[in-house]
Amino acid sequence: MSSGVLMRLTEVIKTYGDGVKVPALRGITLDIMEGEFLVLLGHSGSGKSTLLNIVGGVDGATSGQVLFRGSDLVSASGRELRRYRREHVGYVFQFYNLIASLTARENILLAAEMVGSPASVDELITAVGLDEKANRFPSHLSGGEQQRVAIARAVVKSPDLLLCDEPTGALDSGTGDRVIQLIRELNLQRGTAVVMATHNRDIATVADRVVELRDGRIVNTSGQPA
Amino acid sequence: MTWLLIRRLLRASWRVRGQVFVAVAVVMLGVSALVALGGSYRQLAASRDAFYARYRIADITVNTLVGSHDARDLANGIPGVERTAARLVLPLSANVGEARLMLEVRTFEPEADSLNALHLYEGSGLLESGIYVERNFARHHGLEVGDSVELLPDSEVVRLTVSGIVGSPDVVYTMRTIQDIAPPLDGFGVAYVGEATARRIAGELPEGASARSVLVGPEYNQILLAVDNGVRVSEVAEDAEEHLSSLRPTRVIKNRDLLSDIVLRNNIDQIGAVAAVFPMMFVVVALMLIYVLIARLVEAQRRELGVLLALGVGHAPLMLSFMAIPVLIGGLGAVAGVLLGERLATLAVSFYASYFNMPVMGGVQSVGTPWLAIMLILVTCLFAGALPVRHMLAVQVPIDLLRPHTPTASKETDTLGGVVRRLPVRWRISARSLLRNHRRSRPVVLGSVASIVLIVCSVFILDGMDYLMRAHFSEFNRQDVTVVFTEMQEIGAGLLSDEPHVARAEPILELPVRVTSTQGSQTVVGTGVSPGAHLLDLGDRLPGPGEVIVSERLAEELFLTPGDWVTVDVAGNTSEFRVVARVTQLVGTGAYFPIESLSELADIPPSATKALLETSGADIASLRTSLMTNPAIGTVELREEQRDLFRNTYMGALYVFVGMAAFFAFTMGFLVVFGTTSIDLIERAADFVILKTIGYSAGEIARQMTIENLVLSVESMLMGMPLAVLMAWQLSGVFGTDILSMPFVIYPRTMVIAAGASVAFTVLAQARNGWEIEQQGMTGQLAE
Repeated sequence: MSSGVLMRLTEVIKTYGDGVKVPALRGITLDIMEGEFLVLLGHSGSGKSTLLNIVGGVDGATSGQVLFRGSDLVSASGRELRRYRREHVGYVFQFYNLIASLTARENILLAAEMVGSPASVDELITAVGLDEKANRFPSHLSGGEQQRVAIARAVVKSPDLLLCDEPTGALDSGTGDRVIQLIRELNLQRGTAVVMATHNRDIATVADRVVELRDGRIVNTSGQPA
Repeated sequence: MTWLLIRRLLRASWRVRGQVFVAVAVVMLGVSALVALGGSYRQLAASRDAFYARYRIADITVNTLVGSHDARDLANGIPGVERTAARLVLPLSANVGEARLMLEVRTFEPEADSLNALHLYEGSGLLESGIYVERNFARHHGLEVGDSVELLPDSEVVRLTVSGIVGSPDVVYTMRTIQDIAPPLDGFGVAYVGEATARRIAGELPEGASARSVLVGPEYNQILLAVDNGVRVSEVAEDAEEHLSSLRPTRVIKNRDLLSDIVLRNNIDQIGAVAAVFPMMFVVVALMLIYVLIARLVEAQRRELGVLLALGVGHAPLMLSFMAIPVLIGGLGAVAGVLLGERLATLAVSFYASYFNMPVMGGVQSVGTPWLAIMLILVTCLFAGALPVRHMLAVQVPIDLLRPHTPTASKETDTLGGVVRRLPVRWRISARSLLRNHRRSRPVVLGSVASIVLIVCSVFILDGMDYLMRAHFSEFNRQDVTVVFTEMQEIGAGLLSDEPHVARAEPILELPVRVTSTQGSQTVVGTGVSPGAHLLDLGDRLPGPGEVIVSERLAEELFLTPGDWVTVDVAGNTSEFRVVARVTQLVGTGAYFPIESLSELADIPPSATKALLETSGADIASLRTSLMTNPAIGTVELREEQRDLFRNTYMGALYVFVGMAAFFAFTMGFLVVFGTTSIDLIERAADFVILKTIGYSAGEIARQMTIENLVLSVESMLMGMPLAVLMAWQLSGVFGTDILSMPFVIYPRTMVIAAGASVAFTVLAQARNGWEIEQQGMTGQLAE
């Protein structure tokens, strides 16, 4: 593997169901490069979220190889996957998935405390523009604000890989644009590789590379890694 | 429509089946306890009443100092008396196996409808040289039909063969005096012989003569009376005392003052009191669980309810559909509880009837309790279930239900200060969950509090009895050995104190006395003590001539305080005594006089019926052997043996009861915490998945849940223990009897046991959390 490759997926297959098998990924082969902004583009049911979950270590592949810096996630134990998620991955979800009983600041601190780097929390709160609302609970934040908290929580660990699953899916277009801009800035400033799943072609314009999925297969790739 | 809604709700309930199961189990425990204890109480009370009626317990028993052949004829002249019986009662020394003891040998009337008739458990008709032995005594000494018993009147030996094992309504408990903490089976028993044998023993009939050859009976010294219907027993008792004054009655005992009946009545009433209180705790916890369960179901169904209302479904079918869950829980729990409770009641009745030494009679009495339990449970379950549904349907229009719910518990910004803010962030989730989500924490706290209260109150009964035993056997009675004489012994110099290894001997005279104050009258055991006596703990001082010390219980009944004067009557002789002190006496009640004063009042020379001995390093068993060679000694009771007897017989039943109650309480606590934890796992799945996604392990999250629940456990202890102390205080009143004062004592170990049990069932209920959290799929939750 070249030094620029962060993650290599080879013939990754994922099927669901015990009786009737429902294929979600049908042999995905893909390299994710260090520091690149990669968009997985596809309609609902195309397999982009499944691929994101496998890359994030929250779901397992049925077969194939998923190498993170040379270590195979498919054969990794639960403990190894947990360490992988803890140390290398940040996750941003469509519906934010903040913990309702923690304030915005605490949601970010939660992830920071886990890796022992709480120093950058205040800086990040400023960076995502939530100084005034850092002590509010999620139920008292707008969707865009909640998503910015989720982004800050994901990057506070300084992950190698930031995974974003339809991060603007629940936001209006203006707010969505600002969220995408924020992710892009973090990508450029911190050198964190970003893999974003979306069905929105407009968002794809900010990416270094766009991989289009349909029915669990890669049907098109455009652009070049940064 | 309603069935469709019910089906929909049942599917939704399947997600919370753990909680449903727990609610069913707690209802079942409550109902089974109610049925078992309530059924036992009713059955035992009915058995007692049937036993008393079938074997005609005497309404009044009169013991006389003077015996008479004509006692029965005299008694027949008492107004209001329907039937009479007369007996000769002989306190005799006896050899039973290796033991020397006192046997109260009585004559009896063989007719089936006679007063205090005998129930023959084993054996057949009484042989010429036969004896019937009371069942508890026979069991204790291993006596069987065909064994022999040696009676020792005036140093003679009369050998009789056991013809039968019997019971009688007046000797369900064979208490010797009210001072006995339990039936003194080691040294005392009751037996029955024919009149000819009794007269021969009493020296009235020459050897070889038959009772049939004599026209009159022996000199009876006990008269039994049954009063006419509608006549007051107390009035007849007063008339009897006057009518029989020529026989010098020593005690006129109404049936409710019979020691046997007092103990039996109190024991059965205690079961009744426990039956009323303990199961209610389970029912209250079950209702609260049902309320919380329905409230959570309603909340989870919020959006669907909105859709259904928007579609035009009325409140009534929705309400009815939700009622299916409490009906299901109440119905299943109540039916299972009734089945289990009936079985337990049968076992309990058979155990208690054997322990209480009476036959099970009176037919099946448990009908009523199960129906009452089922109806009570169903009505209250419906009520508990209806509240949250009504609340949801009454205050909101459909569109409100379709909007996202704004949590009311959450403030806009963090208002929790101090300690919470200093906690690591992960623990703040727990802190806020505990402090703000009361619907989650209240069931755990309430269930744990109920469990702690039940455990403390159960074990408290053992504490109280243990303290009572120590106080009775070590503090109030300090003697190592109690010697009971066959007949009164005149106090001479060195009564038994010359015996080897006897460091101190104190004569005791016990006689029934009637103490009368301005407020009333009581017949109690009058105890004469010698000057300088210290083996009975009478407090700071001993009574001097003309003085009496009274027990707290007697003082309360007659409203006596030091300085008051009382009239004391012994077999018709009366004298005035001044009360100089009250003494705390946990077992029995009594009055304490100088031995000379009491003897003088009884018109006898200074005498003793007992001697209390303090030993000096002797082999106490060999001391007993040595003492038993003295023909004047009827029985020798060792303190250690008495204590063991009490512990092994009376306490044995208590251990069973306490063990059952503690087990039920522990199970309830476990079920409540387990059920609530199951719901927690479902409700907080999203949070847990987020924690897992950012790198926390299932084990770390499970440990966090365990600690959350342990915090609630500590909160429960802080609330439950003071409540338990309050309830134990109430219980000490219920468990106090006319014979025993239940002391209000809770040992620290009881609190430790309750706290340990609370921690144990809390931790046990969390055991599978790690596995459950590990199994929670991440991808599904994250997409929601």
